Amino acid sequence: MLLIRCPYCQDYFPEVEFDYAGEAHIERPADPSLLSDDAWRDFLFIRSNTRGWHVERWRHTHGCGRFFNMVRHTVTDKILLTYRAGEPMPNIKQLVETNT
Amino acid sequence: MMNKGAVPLERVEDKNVRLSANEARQGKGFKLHTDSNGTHKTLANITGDRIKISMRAPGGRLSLRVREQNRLQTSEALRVPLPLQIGKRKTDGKRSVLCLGPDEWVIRTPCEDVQALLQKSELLRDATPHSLVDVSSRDVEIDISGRDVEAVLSAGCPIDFRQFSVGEGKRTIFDSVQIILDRHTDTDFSIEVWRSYSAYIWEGLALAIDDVNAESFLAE
Amino acid sequence: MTQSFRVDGRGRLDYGTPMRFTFDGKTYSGFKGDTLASALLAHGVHLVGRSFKYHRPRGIVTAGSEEPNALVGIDRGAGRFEPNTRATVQELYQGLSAESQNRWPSLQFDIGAINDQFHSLFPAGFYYKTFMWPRQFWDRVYEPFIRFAAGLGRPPRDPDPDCYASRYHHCDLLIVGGGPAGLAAALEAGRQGLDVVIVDEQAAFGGSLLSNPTCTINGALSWEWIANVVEELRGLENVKLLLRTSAIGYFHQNMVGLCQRLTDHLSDVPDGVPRERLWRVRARRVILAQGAIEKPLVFNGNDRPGVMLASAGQTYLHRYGVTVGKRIVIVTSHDTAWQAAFDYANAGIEIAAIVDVRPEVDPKLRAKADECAIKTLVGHSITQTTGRKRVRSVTVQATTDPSRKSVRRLLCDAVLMSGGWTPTLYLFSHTKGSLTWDDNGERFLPSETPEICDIIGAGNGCWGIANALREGACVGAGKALTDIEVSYTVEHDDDAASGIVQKELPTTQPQETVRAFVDFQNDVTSKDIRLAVQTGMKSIEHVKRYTTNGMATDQGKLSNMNGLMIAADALGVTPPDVGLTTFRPPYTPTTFGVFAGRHSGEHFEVERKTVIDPWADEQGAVFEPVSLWRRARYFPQAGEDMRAAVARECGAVRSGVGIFDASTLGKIEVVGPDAAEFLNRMYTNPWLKLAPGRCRYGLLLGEDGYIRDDGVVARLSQDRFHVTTTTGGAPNVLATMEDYLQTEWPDLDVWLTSTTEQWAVIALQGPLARKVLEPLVDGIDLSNDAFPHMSMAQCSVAGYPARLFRVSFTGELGFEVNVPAQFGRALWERFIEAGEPHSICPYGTEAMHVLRTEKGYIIVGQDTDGTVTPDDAGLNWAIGKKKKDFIGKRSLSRPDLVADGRKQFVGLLTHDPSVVLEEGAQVVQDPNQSVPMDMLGHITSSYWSEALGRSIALALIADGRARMDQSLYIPMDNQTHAVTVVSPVFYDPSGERLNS
Repeated sequence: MLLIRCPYCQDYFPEVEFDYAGEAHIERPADPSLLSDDAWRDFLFIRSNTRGWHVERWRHTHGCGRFFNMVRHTVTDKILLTYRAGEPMPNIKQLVETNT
Repeated sequence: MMNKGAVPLERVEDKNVRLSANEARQGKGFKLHTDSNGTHKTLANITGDRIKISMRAPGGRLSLRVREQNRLQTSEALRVPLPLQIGKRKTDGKRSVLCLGPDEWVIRTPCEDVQALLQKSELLRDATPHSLVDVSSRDVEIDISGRDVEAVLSAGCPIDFRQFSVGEGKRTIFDSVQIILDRHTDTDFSIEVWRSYSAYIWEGLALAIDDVNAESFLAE
Repeated sequence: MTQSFRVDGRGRLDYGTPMRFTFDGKTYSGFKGDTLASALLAHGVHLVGRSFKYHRPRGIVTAGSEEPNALVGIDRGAGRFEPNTRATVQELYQGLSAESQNRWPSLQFDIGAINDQFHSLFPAGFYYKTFMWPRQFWDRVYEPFIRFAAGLGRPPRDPDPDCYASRYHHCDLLIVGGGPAGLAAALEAGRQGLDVVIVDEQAAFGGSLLSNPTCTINGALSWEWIANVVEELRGLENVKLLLRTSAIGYFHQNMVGLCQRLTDHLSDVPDGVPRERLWRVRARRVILAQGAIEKPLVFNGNDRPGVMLASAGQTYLHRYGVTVGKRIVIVTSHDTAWQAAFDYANAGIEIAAIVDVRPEVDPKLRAKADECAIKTLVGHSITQTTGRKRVRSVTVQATTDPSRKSVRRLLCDAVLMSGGWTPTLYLFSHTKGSLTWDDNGERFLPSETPEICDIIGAGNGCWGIANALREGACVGAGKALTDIEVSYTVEHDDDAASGIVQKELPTTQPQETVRAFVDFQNDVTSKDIRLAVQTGMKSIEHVKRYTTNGMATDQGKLSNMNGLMIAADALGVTPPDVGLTTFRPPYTPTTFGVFAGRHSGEHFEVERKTVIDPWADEQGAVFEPVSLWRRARYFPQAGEDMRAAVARECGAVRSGVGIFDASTLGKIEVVGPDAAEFLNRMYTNPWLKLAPGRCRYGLLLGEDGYIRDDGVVARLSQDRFHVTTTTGGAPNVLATMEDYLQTEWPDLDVWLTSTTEQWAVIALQGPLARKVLEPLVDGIDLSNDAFPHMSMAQCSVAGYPARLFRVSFTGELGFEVNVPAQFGRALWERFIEAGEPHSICPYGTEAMHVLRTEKGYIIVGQDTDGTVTPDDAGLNWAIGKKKKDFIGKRSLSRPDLVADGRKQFVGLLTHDPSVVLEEGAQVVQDPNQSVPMDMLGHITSSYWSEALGRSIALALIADGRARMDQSLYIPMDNQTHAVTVVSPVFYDPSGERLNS
């Protein structure tokens, strides 16, 4: 069971308070009608499925209730960073270098 | 609005009731006690030397949502103190307010205040976007206190009580059920939980108490 | 029987508390403090079980949780039978009753032992190769045979009557293992004031010191030192000591699972005391001080009862005051077993010889052996043992002598063996910690771990008590190992010991007669491992699965390293090149009960009940689960079955008035200036122009265009909506809405609050519904003109504050009254009273289903399955045609969502009106088509309709709407039913009744 730092509560809480919510930074197009069928398919279904550092959404469901983003390693489960929804995606490479 | 026919939940005091796990399993701990009208029901209290659980009498409860930039304005208009930090509680007379999220507070207040607050909210609506919803009946509150309280709560609650101070409260989990846990003193807590989950929480607490009580037997 | 193998003056037992117990029906005695194993050994009983595959007689090998052989069934009375309990772990209690396993008819005479005679027929991979062909033999012959022969012990048949507990715990430091290293660490950390938890799987702290009473620490004898340390630790409030507690798994971020056995050592357990407790400990830092496990030697006949690990022999002598035999042979490749020989000699037990396979040993050891007058055979190997149910002799031979001239036979009744030590790295490996091969010690040692975790003592390859204490003290104080401040003076330490690592011991015996066991529990021999390599298994993972080496419940605690050495030898590579298999939790076998914890029986899962549920219960309602809720399904009257009750309930709604508890419906209060805009984006329907006081059916899609949920939404005021969802969908709808609101449209000023349980909801449905309600409502004109279908008002009903909806899920005139939950039951009873003149009838979910099916109303999740679009369901009318966007809109024009052949929602009428089809049944066009048939779709809802006097069904059928009036078929086991495709609206298609 992971310990996760909620960027809103600014503290660590046990994983059971959280829900996973898929890959992060996949923004809903402002006007989906402008998208081709293929582009819309990619938005719906195509994910990076990374082996390694993955930027993903979580929600502190049974805490403050907020969605936020996390950089987590999909093999080791190490969590590098959590940050608030709406904040820009961090430079993973740089982040890994400064943290290891 | 609470006029004829409105009978509040009656608080049942059953002194010296200690339930074994078996009794609990047979449903004894959760036997619903019927009041004189046969309509309103609650749970029998558990009263022991080291731990007590009881249902708290119903109170007024509202969920307030407002953005940070409108927090002060709303606080003033409703005359409700709004703590800034998630997990902190502010008390003003009979009213206490717990911050649950960056834009979320739960206001606990006497039942008779609820309508007045909703009316103030209505007046504030156009000037200051916010949401105030009466959830008085949604949740019930369970008081739990005593020397063993942390051990009992630890049965289902994964948080570190060393990091959970007096005057704080938070939404968390007990046995897979979402609760709001408040710490009033070192050994006094309360659990706020959606009504239909309360029997399960109560049962879980009763079983946890059995486990904690077993320690003294096993220590011999 | 007498305890003729007790040694006077030894042991840590409570000799004042004798205990009686039975094994296979025979009565024995022992003392408080014994394990079942030590008490049996006190009577000279070594034979305790039969082996898994060959049914060979097997005895006790170890004195701890790594025991592979001594697995017994423990019977604690009704429902309390546990198979495969390790006799070496089970503490003796008054009246304990144990039975041996895997033997028939008896332990002494076991027919299954015939397998042993034909062992050459059952080599590794036997099952894979033999039971392949012919196919039809599998069901009738092979599987029953394997099932009968397989498994150890008999499973308990009754529900477990015990209760179990679980707790979370948080601490600064968790120490796993209470031997010298662990205790020294706890002492330093405890004195610093850290929150410390120290656990040990045994009944006493001390670890290896318990088997070493002569060594002194800082001047105190080891047992005295333990007592002093434990007393000091118990005196520290910040230190928690847990005995009989196994750390079973090590998970992310220092979460360690502990299983604490609370009552298995007691004869009388009061009701309500849990048998075991699961601890989920989150520690800032973890110290693993689990020591090392001695390795057996692999030689011909090494599995006979009486052949044991040397360290176990020491433990039985010192801790339990038991000698494992009267004339003992020591066989070893490691120094530590020499100490066992000296200990036994000092206790006056005859040592037949020390046989050491090494060409040279430390002269000091030889000198000491001479002092004790023990014969030593250095450079000798053991080639054979005799004795069927107890070892009687061993045959030894010089390793440098192929001529057999040096062969000699030593009579004995016990053999103590040592192949050296394996650091206990199981938990360390759970952390994904890496191991390095130590060339000198020929062993794996811990290397890197991603966790904040130290491993100390023998587990870290550190030998000797003084070293272990020093490591423990340093690490416990939070200092580096090199940072030696604390020092201990230890005398009679078990000194730095050395040894060599062996594969099978050399032998001149003909290969076909050699039976040298590597894995005792799974009956894997060294030949099996070589055969696996010969068969082409190159990876240790393959060798493991082919031979089952290390796959028994002990996870290869004794066998992995020996198996690895043999596999490496057979492959001609070094052990690290072969590698180790992955260790997984739990470290030792763990009960299902402790994982379930409190969550069994009545407390298995949450059961949500509405405030009206107790009334239904009192009326004798039959309930059904709907998501986590229990709902009244129907209200049978005397003599009624479900069909009769449901027919009566439906009839009441169609002709009079029914009352229904709809409180479980999900409810969300959507508030804020952008509330309408938000709903407009979420739902397919248009919301901006919905007037306050009006309701609308809302349809919610996923972004993929498929139906997710539906419900009625009412506008309370300009900025406030009362949204309802399906009972099961409520949490997901709220979560999805929050998701969009927080992450896609954070600019919208709108907030969501779950009010599902704020409101009790009572539905009054039927032509007389208005008659019941009207007198109780103040100030609202409920006439059809003033309060038409899909109206909503906030008012007072019977004096309670209410939200009153005119809605219908039955096709009849209907109202739903929402009142704050605590008034729900009172209002319900008020309605029952007020409805009496109109014969008001409570109805349950079954009647509700029939009524809505008659009207062709879908239930999301029953008539839809996550692949149904609004068009498929015939709900295009619910899509706001002028809306530019809403969740899922773009997907509705995806090519596969507009393609021909999609399954569409239709009604079906059976040609035989009495046949009620099975929900889920497949529909085909041609009943005579050969299997596999082309499936057109399936039945989603099917009921008997009393109103129509016939059965009705709803279905999803490919191109269903183009098949109106076609005949289709539903092939069932005994019969094929013919149906006609019709409109899904069976009853009152014009909707007159709804608007009356």
